[in-house]
Amino acid sequence: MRRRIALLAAVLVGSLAATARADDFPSRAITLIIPTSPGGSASVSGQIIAEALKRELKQSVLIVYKPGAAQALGTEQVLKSRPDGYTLGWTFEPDLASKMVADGKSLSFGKGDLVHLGAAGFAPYFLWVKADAPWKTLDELVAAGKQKGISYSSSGVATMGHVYAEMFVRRAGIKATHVPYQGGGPATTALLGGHVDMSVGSYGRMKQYMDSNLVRPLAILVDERLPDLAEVPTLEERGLDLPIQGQIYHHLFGPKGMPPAVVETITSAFERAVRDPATQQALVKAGFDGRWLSAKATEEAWLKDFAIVEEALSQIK
Amino acid sequence: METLDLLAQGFQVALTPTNLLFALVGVTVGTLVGVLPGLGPSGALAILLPTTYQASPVSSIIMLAGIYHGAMYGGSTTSVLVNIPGEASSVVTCLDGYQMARRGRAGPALGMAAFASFIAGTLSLVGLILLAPPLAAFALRFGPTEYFALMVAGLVILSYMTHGSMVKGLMMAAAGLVLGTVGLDTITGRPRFTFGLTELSDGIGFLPMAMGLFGIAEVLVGLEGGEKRDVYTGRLHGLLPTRRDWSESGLPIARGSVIGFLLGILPGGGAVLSSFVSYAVERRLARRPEEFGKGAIAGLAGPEAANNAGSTGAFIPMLSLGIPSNSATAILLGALLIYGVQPGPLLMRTHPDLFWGVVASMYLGNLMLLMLNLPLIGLWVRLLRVPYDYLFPAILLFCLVGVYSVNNSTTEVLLMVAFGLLGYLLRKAGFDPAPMVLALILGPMLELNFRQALILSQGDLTAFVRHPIAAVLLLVAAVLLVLPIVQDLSRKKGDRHA
Repeated sequence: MRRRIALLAAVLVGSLAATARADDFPSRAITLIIPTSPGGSASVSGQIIAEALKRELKQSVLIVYKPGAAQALGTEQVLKSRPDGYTLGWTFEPDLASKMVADGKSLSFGKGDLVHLGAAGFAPYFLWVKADAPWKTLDELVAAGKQKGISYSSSGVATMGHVYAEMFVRRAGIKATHVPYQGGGPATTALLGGHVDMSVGSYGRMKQYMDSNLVRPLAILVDERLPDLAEVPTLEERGLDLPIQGQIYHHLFGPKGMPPAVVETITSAFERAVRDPATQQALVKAGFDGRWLSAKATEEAWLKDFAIVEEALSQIK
Repeated sequence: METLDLLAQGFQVALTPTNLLFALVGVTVGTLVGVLPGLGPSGALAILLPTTYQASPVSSIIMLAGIYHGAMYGGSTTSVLVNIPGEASSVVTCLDGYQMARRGRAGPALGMAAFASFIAGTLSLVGLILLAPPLAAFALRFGPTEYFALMVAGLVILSYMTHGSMVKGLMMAAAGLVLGTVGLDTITGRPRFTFGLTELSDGIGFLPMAMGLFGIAEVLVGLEGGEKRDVYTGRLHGLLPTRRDWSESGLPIARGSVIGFLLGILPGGGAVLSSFVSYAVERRLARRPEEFGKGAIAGLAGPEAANNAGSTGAFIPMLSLGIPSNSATAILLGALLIYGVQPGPLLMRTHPDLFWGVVASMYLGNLMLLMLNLPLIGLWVRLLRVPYDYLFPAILLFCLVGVYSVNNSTTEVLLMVAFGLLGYLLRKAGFDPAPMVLALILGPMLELNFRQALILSQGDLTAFVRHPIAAVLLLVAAVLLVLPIVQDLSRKKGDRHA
């Protein structure tokens, strides 16, 4: 009996040691937690990245959706998991930063608790109006907004669509009414149906409606024109620059305390995964651009976004 | 004529051996997953999505559409057999379907659900083929004002839902509305009644509530023993609907199909409403409304037709506008993006093979579901013969696993258990939980649309009568509310004179 217990203990200790050993990482499947519902932008980019990581790491990458509380629930689950590199998260930025600023007090984690491993799946935001709207240019929209006010839809309070639109509205000195919807789909529907005048949305989501002549872009919210839409001006060119690059991107992160060798393995696999031509093609087809950010650059971008959103939300409230 | 050509092309795509196989695998897997409580269509799709990566986009979407329809159908099976609604649309199926099973008519109930779904699926596909683009454009005109009016009509209809005391029904609906206010306020982003729990910030989920109130409570009531069910009324008859069943179900199926199709087109909330609007309509029109809630086959056939037509209707905004109308179609849209197909208004033009192939395969999928399920009915019915000693623990286990698997949340498991206890007490006190569940779904939508409408109209309440669609819907609601009172009064007056 005693020998059996000793044997069992040895096996247990052995298996613990096996999971803690970093040099053979990864020796089993990796869980990638996506804290949104399946179907959205994080799930589309996340599945592309998971496939690519699987090829690079030669291990399965299992996606687990853990939606709720604007990504906070899933993020929390990643941060509470054992820091061995086998549980990672893929969130949709800077929406998470915005949620953390808005509800920081009720959350169990802070901006410094995420270990960033890299970012990909970038898509710039545009200002959109309905194709048959009377405003043909940004200046006309701004003039109308100053004169009689406009309404705009967003996918929810303190989401980036809301924050970016509010930054624009304030910068331009427009009178605007914000109508929050639940998610990007309903917010887009409200614009297509003419229930609101304007919406801020990513190129990936809105391209289909632009191609079928239902909506029109009036400006791009990053500082560079998009080659596909070279005729659409940037806000900066019109003297209405925002304090932030108006875009979404997604980042890979894990909990604090992962062994440095594991972090190194994941970050380099992630870089190769994103730069793989197959991944690049898949990202572009799904409406993203193929950019990749290193772990360090992601961390810097995250802290910068955080500070800007903090500032912006304090003004909105 | 051009449409027919395109449809013929679609059938050519769908009838290739590979795609037929994908459709068959889809509906089979979908049915199996749908039968497990908790895992509804969206859960099944999310889990099975990666298995389709290697196939072509057309084959993948055909399989995913098969899973969607199969899981919808499988959900009705658990509602009838063990009183567990896996989806909002099958709450209503529990009401009379389960009562039929209790009376030894599980076979006809499952059979009628299969036939009603098939007929409704066929009719609504015809609608989809002929009317998709203009209907999608019409659906866009539904803004917050119109949705608010639609939800009001839906809530009024709730009062027709219960059997027994109307006051008790309204009390349940009110409780459901109150529970629906838990979570983040969508307009301001402030938490309400969450008691500091992050898990509650998205509100109380439909699944833990419905599975607790129906499934777990049913097991608890059953534990008391004493209740006898006859499973079989005979070997030969009893598996398929009788002629009398058919004559009672024909018109409800036709009406259910139309209601389901029209409401299903509306993105956001329409498809949920369809099954219980159909139930209320049938109860209102029935010659013996007192049989509803006690195993009336019309109360099963109509809503089953409506929810299948609704799920087909939901494909219209998705395929022709790129707007998902529920979480399952949202996943299908995401899948299209991963295959590099841009969904939206141009889909019909840029990928006609995909669009029409999917439409054709939806029809074939419906046919396969019918053929697959009729022989399975005997098996399902036999499942009811499993002694309670084994059946109850199995149901409990499936409920626990099922609820956990949806959001990977232990909080929701605890919520389900709490609702199970509540459901048991309610049952003892003679309350029907269905209005509470439906009010939980409708309440937040009602509130959100009301407030959005007022934001847009700058607080002007007359907006609701200035929008023609909203005005008509509110008028219907008012008539529905006042009519029974007037009838009641005139009846009492008549009594006094007599």
